[in-house]
Amino acid sequence: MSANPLPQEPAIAGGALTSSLSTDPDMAEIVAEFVMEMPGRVEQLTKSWDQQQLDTVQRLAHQLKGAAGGYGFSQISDAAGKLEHSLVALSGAGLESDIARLRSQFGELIALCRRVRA
Amino acid sequence: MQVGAVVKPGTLVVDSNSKPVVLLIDDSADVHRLVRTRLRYEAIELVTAFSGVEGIAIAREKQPWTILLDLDMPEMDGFSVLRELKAASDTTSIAVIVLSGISESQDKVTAFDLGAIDYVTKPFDFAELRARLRSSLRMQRLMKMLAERAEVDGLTGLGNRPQFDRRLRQELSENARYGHPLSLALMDLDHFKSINDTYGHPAGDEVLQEFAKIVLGSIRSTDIACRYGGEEFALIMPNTGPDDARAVCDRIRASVAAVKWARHPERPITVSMGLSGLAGPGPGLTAEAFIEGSDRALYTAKRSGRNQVVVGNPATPGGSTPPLAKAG
Repeated sequence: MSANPLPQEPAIAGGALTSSLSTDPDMAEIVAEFVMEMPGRVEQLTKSWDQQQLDTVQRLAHQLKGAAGGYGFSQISDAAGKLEHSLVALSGAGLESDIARLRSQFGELIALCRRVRA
Repeated sequence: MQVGAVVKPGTLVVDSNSKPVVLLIDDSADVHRLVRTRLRYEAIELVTAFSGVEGIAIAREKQPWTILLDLDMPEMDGFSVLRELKAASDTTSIAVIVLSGISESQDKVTAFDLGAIDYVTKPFDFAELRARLRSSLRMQRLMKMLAERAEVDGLTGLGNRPQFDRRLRQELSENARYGHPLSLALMDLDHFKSINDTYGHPAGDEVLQEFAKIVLGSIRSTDIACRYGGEEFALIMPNTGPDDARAVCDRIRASVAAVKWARHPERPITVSMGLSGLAGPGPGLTAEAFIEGSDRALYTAKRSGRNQVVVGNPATPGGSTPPLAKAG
């Protein structure tokens, strides 16, 4: 037995989320770029969330909503749209139930984003 | 020189070989990349801006046929951009297709009220985006053709009087703003009435058409040649001071005098020209004052024996000038 086993792909919770455009030759290159940039985007989102910069989270969600579907990730567009909608509707005080919903929507979006593969 | 083919009307129509410019204004780099990829095979030149302010500046400079405008942008949103574009005379006729979220129907209504011609919802259906863009470009091409046709003289293919009025005002304001040189020549065919009377109107028309052809062959593409009325023509020469303009006029005058006319070889045609120009920043002249300067010089050319170019001064306030038509 070799002492150095082959490196393995890390397991993805929920399975890989692949682009519905992965077979479109015109799109392959930019889908790959989009996927490559995703970890940076997730980091930006989580950092803003942790620092309670909800305006930034809303902005990033808005951009994901508008773009992700175009790259073949309509589930991410949908999840980002829901989060954006909740953030827009959020009242100043923020009810417990609102916050719980936000947290769950944010978690869902981040989980989806972490699953993307070209 | 022999009289050649008749000048085709419509020399000024839209150049169908150049690709129309389409401007995308959107704050998202993802959208830029997507749109660029998805419109890769369209016969357009795509230019892009990341903010409303940048987009308006590019629209002014590049005069795109269609703008794809995101409504939801930080700082200056799409509505404000649309309002500014529609309020400024140099961008008001640019077609704008707004890009809006699927659920924001009130936004679409507002955008239409502000002058947008169409909308596409995000996330994009790119087949739809392409179809709507093509439809907008088709309409823009027709609008431009109509606008240009309305400013072309049917007989000679040169600009007509409305085009002359519009362009002279425009060039004078450029001169006032940037101080670029500007010259204006008024040209009048000598004793033209007797050509019509002696050889008939078809012969007169041929002279007008051939003259137009000579003028077009002697000027730069940025110069603006117009039929001012009857046998009077005007030549606006942007970025040209009076000395250079004089050389252009002399060339035209000599070419006209050298033509051997098929219908009347025994009768040469000559042209008198009055020229005035600004070598640099002008004193904020009105179009009327500028025309008057050239008109006075033309009158002098006529009085001094015709078939010559006289340079006048646009800035000198003048007395009354006899009307051109009476000079002949």
